[in-house]
Amino acid sequence: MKWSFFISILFTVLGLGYYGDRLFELDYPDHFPKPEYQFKSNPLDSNIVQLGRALFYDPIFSKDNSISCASCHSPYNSFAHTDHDLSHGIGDSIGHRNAPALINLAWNKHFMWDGAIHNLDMQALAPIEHPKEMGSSFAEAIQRISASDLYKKLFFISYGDSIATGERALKALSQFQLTLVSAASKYDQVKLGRDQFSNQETKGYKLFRKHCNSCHSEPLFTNGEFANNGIGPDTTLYDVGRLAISKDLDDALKFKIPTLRNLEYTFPYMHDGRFRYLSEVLKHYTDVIEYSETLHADLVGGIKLSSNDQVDLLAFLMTLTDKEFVFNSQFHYPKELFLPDED
Amino acid sequence: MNNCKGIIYLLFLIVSLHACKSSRTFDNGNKPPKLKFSTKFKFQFKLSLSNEELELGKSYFSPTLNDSFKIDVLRFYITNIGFDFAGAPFGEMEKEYHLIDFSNDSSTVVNIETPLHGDHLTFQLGVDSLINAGGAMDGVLDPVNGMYWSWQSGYVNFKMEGSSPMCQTRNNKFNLHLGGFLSPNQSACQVKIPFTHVAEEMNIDLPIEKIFENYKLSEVPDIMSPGSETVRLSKVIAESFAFKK
Repeated sequence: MKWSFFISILFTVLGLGYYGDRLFELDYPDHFPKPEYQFKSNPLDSNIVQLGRALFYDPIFSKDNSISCASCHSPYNSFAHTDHDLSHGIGDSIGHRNAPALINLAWNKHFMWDGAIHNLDMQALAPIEHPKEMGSSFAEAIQRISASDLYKKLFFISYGDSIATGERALKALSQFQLTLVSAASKYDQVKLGRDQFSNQETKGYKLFRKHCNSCHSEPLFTNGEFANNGIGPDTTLYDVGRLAISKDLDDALKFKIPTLRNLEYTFPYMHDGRFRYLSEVLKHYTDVIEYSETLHADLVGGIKLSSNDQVDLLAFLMTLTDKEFVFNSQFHYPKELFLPDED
Repeated sequence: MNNCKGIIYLLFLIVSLHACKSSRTFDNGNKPPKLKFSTKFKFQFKLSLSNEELELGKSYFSPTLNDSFKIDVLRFYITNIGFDFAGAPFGEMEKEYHLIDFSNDSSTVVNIETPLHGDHLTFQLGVDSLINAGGAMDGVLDPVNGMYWSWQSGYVNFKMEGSSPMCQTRNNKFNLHLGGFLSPNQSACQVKIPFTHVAEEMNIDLPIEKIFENYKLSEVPDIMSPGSETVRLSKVIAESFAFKK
């Protein structure tokens, strides 16, 4: 027992000699909970993060080399697909949902609007193989990556040999996406005692805590669950939401509760992108909630907010904007890898 | 740095030698004696129709369907291979995953070396929920093998694709993709095959008519998501395996 302890210490020391400068832990402030992602099976490594970043921005996953992850998850829009109600993929085909912002994914339990995916590693398979998104088989995409000189090099410096496997590619994509932590908004600065809310923001925060926080719970601004928020099905899509996955009628019209962080950048709103402006979203919650059996109990009868309240609430919601996140060049297109000869 | 590593390795060597020595002194009395004999089993999976071996890509006539059919793809995952004796697990299980793929002969063979075998061979048909929820995997569990649903989380435990004139579908195709790991639709199943004889090389037969007897190919040519029908058919398949001379 004693020996095995020493042996494990020795291995740790040896291991650090090789990887110590590359391994790192996800950085997040104290007011955040512990992440959901199991880092043990995929410890963050700066080289693997860069490999994942290259894969994220490379259209190599799509059948005709036209669409990358970033096509619908743009860094300048907090990794959402701004201006498109329904996101479009290969050959300009239009999907049936709005691409959500990729923020604080390490804390997500479920992925996709209907929670079809349970692990971040496996999420990328869905858009890669979807005929209206990237339209490729995963095996063919991995073959294209294996044949690329750039990736031979990147896999070598990440994993010690140049072999591109599905597991490695998926884990690298996860690593890059896990680093997309938004925790530097004014809200966070206030929580850390480095800033103060204005009077209007304080009033808005109180209203938020009263009316919104049960679903869009602090500090991630989502509780990670599914809810029917009374927007009713789009009559051209008839999207039943979580029901299609769980086959449980109690889940009809329920969708994943999205984070409100960076909502200034992530318009249009809702799973089908039906609201272009936040004012429309608020109007929905105060005036137009459609009753159905699975409607969230807190929304029956709508939320009572005066027009002054609405302005205050919007002022608070704007404190969730994290410019540092949006302008972080570490998250952007890896020019240095794809275009090494420029600048 | 190199010098430093050398010293650490030397230390490690000394530590491990000591560890070996102490375990010999203390544990000798508790360890069961090593058995001298062991059987090297070579289990080979085969498909059959009316007791004749069935090959992929060939058309056959099935008396059960009363029509012809052809299977192009048939593969499935197995793991936790072990033995039962008198209704209880006997010895250690082999926990590795195997993807039995009839388009690749070498994948249909599973070698197991065991000192003792019981009265049943047991294995799990399909991937357990921990692996399903565990993120990206390598080897036979790598999603490049085409045995992972992309539109939702989960491995396809058993895949059978083919065609039959009785299927009113495009190119008369049928697709059976069985999987699902979430309650109440967990479809990984325990398989228990009684030994009818014992030999070093044993064939495990999957009679295709057993599937056809329990699955109306003409009515539901495609099953490709978890559900109660998936669970039922997975059980049917798990109960169909048998040793064959």
